[in-house]
Amino acid sequence: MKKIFSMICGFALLAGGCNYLDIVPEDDIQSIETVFEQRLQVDKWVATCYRNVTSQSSITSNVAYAGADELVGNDIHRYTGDFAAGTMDGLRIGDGAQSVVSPISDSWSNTSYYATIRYCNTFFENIDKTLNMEQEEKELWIAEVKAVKAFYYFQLVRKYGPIILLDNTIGVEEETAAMKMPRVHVDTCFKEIVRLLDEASEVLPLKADKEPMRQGYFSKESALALKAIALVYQASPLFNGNPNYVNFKERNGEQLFSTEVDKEKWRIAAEACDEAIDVAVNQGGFHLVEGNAGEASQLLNIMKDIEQSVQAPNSSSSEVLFMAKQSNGDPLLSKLHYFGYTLPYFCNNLLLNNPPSDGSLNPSMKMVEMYYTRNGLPIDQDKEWNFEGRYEMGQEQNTAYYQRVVPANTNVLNLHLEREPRFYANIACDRLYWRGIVADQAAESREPLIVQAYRGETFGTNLESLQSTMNQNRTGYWLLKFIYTDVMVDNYSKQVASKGDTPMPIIRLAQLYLMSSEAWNEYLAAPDERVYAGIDKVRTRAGIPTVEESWRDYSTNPSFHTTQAGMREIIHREMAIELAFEGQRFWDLRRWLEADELSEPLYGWNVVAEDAEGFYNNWQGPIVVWSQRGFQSPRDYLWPISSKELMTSGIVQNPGW
Amino acid sequence: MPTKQIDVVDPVEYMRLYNEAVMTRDPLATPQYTAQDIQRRIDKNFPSWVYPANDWYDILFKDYNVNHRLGINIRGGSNLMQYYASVNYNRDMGMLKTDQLNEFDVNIKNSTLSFRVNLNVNLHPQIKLLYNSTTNWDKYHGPLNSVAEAYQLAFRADPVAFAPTYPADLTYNWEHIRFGVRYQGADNPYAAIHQGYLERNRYSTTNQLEYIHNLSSLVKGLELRARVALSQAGYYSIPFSTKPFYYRLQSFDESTGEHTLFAVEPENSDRTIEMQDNKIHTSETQLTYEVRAYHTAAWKDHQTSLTAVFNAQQSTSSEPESYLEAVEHRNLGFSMRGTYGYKDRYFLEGSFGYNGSERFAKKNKMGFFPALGAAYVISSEPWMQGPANSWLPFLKLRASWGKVGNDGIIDTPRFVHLQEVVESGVPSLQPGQASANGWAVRNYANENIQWEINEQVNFGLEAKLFKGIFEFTLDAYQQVRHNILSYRMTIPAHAGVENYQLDNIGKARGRGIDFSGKIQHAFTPDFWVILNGTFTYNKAIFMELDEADDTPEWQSKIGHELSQQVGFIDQGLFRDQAEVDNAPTQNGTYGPGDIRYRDIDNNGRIDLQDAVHIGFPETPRITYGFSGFVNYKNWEFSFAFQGSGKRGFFINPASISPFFAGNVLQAIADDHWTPQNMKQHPFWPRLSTQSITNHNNEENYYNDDYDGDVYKSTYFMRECRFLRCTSLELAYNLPDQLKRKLRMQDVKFFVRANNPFLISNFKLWDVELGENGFNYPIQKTFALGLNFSF
Repeated sequence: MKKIFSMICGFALLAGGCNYLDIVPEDDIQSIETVFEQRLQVDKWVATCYRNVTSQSSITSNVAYAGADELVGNDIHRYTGDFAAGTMDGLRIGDGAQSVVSPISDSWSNTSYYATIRYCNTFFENIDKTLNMEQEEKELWIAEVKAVKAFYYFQLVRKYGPIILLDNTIGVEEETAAMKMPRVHVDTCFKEIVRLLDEASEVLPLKADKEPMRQGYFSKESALALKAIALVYQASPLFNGNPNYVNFKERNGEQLFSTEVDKEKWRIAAEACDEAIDVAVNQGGFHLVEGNAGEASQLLNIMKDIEQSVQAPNSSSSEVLFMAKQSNGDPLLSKLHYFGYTLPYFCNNLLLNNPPSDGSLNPSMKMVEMYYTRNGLPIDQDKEWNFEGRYEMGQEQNTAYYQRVVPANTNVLNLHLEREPRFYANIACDRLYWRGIVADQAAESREPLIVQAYRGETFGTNLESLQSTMNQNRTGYWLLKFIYTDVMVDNYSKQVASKGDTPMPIIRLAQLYLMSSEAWNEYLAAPDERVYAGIDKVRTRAGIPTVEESWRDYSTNPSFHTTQAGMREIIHREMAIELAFEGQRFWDLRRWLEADELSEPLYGWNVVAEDAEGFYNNWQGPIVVWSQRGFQSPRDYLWPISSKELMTSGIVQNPGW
Repeated sequence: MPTKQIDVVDPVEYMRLYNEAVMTRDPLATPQYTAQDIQRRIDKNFPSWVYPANDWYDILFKDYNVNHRLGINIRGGSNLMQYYASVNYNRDMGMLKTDQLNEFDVNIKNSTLSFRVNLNVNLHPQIKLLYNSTTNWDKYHGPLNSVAEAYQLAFRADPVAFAPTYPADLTYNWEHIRFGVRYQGADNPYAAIHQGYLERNRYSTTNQLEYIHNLSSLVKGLELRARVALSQAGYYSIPFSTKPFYYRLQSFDESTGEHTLFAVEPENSDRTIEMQDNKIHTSETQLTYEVRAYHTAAWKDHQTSLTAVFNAQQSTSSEPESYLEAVEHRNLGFSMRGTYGYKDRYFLEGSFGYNGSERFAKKNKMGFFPALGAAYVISSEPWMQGPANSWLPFLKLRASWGKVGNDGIIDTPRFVHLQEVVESGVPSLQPGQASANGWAVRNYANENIQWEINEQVNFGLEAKLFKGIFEFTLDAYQQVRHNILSYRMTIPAHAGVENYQLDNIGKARGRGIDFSGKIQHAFTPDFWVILNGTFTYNKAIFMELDEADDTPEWQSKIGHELSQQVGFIDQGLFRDQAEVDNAPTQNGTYGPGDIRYRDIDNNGRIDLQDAVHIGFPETPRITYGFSGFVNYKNWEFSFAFQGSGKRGFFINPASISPFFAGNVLQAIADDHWTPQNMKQHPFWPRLSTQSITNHNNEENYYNDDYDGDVYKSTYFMRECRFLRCTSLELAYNLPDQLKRKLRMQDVKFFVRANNPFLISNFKLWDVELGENGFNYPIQKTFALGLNFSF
């Protein structure tokens, strides 16, 4: 009786209870299937597929910006960092602090590119189910996603070499063993990148023909440009018959690198560059920024061209083919931008004490000396340039030409005189005019400010010693590249919002011109017009003579440019200068197998000195300002995969790690 | 005050060590502090804010505070109804020094008010209604930073870079507080405490109504109970803050004593108080129902009982982050338990639980968990009566087996069997658009996931000895957990699965012994003693685990204890560059004086494959405690101790890394590697201004790349044991005559000490703080008190 009673009681409640637990309307919750039901939601999925592109434009997350030898930064950026932007990990790569137990800038992880590639594959697998879309539009979106998948593969390949290619999403219900996949031959990876971009560029319209709200995605021009760049990488010594990787095999025995150098790869790359240039220029209407005429002098006009060549106010540029941006106008987010580190910090002048920057990421002496003389030659190869006396003081003679750039009747270090326009456009140095507007003054009445870099002076430090944990300029130079010089330094982070979006260039036309020259030079036995064409376009815009004019007329070695080896050196240097601080040199030195020089210490001036003599080290030349450097060859040419991941996925580690 | 004050160097020593840290790594570098900087701080000829040498702990903390407690309770009633009601009020003042710098008050005031009402109503001779209600409310007013945060700030802040505040100079001379700072964004602990305050209200209420119906008239021995309980808890906190003005000392003229200040980002400063945006308001509600039928019967030598319980529980909380998180938590259970006893000697018991959880797929929602038990009271046997009875009045043997289900301690994802796809902001690439909407797949459906099962076997012995002076229980048990709910850590990165996927993985087994004993004896009616002791031994190991296929055999956790650490074996410090060059490649920017590790697999480099099982498990196998109470006439004395056996203990070196983590521990100052102190194993390697993890990446315990695993090293491993005195109390009760005179029921004076001392072989800090010595310490308190009731 009692049992029956309680049974009835219990089961009556339990019957109701089953529903009690079914409280989620399982068919009505958001899922991949419901997202792909309608166009608007799928559009957000495309945005998700593109979400990792933006990090390329962040000075902290893109380690290539500060990871080479172009910039010197203090420990404060390495270890303390900013709450929004994080630490500048590139600096630690420059220090040689890369490690296999916790790789810096680890992209071989489940939250980085492979996660976004999974979103791309999920897109390909589901897009045909979307109901309210025309097939034509689906094709366009597929092309956009294919191009960005190729972009992610490219980012992975240039870091890791051979990678795992994923044609489909891996089911999460699979056993781990079934999820494992091998890394494949690096040429197979490049082939897949090219295939994706070929298929995408077939469909993609020109940028100008795209809807405004899709112009940030890949267009025909940028897809072809990425393909050309990928092919140049494939042809480069790092990936093309690299003797260090002859025995580099996956654990299943598959060879991961070609063992022979294949020159044909250079021809394919050169043709791809020319095709990309042709489409961008002749169909897309892109061109190098040239022809500013509103400035006070010819030199200032050229410098304006140079300044604008890397800028894309309101996301528009005639030169930048592919770009990415960071949030703009919010002072709290300054540290996502170059200007948050590179604009001077006026610690000795209260009236100017409102820059968004701490002014402590600064051009190295290496880059200062990298720029050409006004004749377009390296400083040690110009007959007319005072190389021996470069660390002594002098005065500008040609004051009309250099008006508002070099002050007249002022003692200036010879190193800062008679240099090419790109030097003055991109680097601010001691005793020269500061190019921007500092405080709120009408431009006409403004007496240009002179950069005074000694301790206690306007631009100088107010600390008596070098302090690594402080926002202190280590080299005595300031970077002007990417800065809008018509925006006030005071409150720059807010004021720059008047420019609209201010993206960073990811791919720009000048790079394609230089890569075309590079590829043809490597392919041909001796340089011809195909080699000179691209580089001379860039030099002309930069206001310096063509390669032939410079070397023939002013160089100590007038036939240097007529040989393949000579041209190789010229092109490499031209790339270092034109693309300086754009996060290209970091990769270029690696693909050329020339990265050993990254181990050299970085030089600058004695910034805590109070006068010229002390600042310029008693005319004895630059001093070491950052000695902790390390590039271990050949180990550091490729990134390490974390040893934890190796245990999980059973793939082979990169050589040397 | 802390149980153990952590010992850090004084500001002058701090500067000397900083210079050493800079120079020892880079001989070309310039020292951070000049000889004059240091000398001025020794001489103290100038105001302290010119050459600051701050003892931040002393600046922020005081050693004692005063708390008040007040309570009133009443009880009473009639045959029909009994009641009990109480009100308690506490008021605590915090341990922070809070000077009156602002108009507003940042002093800590923490008031707690609690009410309790119990009501029993006899509706009918067979029907009872019980009502309980408790309400707690606490109101906190104090600095934006908690005491624990302030404590960490005190050890993290630079002791010499700036003064807590500066006096006015000619420019910044209006009335406001001029906090010192080194650079914007750096912490001035004094500013952190004084810049504003927080008001927090926390409440919780529980109301429960229980209906008890004795149905003996229907079926003899049957009782029915029904219960509904509703509890609600929540809090809201509102921060109010100024934007402090920060200054650096720009110049100080030693001859005239005049100074100028440099304002750091004055445009971001404002001395007026504003409400801040980061208000928090949360609340949660829980509703429980239960119906219970209980039947007992006894005839001749037999006793039986049968219980059937149906219960359901649902709870919600505010501020869910997604639709699925907002869905109520629900549990449902039906269980029955039957017992049978024969002659008070032999007992059998059987039960089952049939439980449901909303978290699993339909087919796995319900779980069935049976249990069986038997007991034998030997002392009730006729042959145990007689003389044996006086020294062994009670002896019982028990055995049981049972299963229990667990639907997950891990709350993410909320529903394991459902996909979770949520909208999430992504950066936009489109002109004029700052950010765009995208999607994030947070969980992939796993239909197969089911209840985690804990299967336990237990053997027990209960006995009383010597007329009940000594009694003890002893249990030996084995627990096996199957289908453990945990994340799959072995999904390869290239699968691109962003969030960990929950699954039934692994099996673990625990075996142990629990003992508790008690001795009580009254020597005379007003002199008696009670002593309690407990002892547990527990060893839990992994039996199955989802491990990466290429995990080296020396790293496999299977067969090892749950808290067994895997890490690197150190070989002392590198003596010189030659040794560095010839050693296997390590990780980080290391050189002479940094830690060297053993290359277990001899592949020429240190990687995760070189980690092995190191040291004792971090959870001690043995824990014990004892307490006692002695009453002699009007005096009472009581004490309690707690201790644990040997265990592995790891100092997290990043958390005490000099200059990087904050101040320098005296232990580091006393014993670190220098070219003059080239010991193999000093307490600390070569000094650096950076974190030790930059030089030895292997010391980065909580590296993200380890996917949830932690790798430590033997360099900072210690073995430790400890015994803590948790309380001591001496009390005096007023003699009865005096109490009567005062018309008091009870008057008691007491002196109490909580956590007065600790015996441990680890001396640097209280081991229970764990790996970080700068954590807020367990406090020792001393109290003088007076209790009285009318």
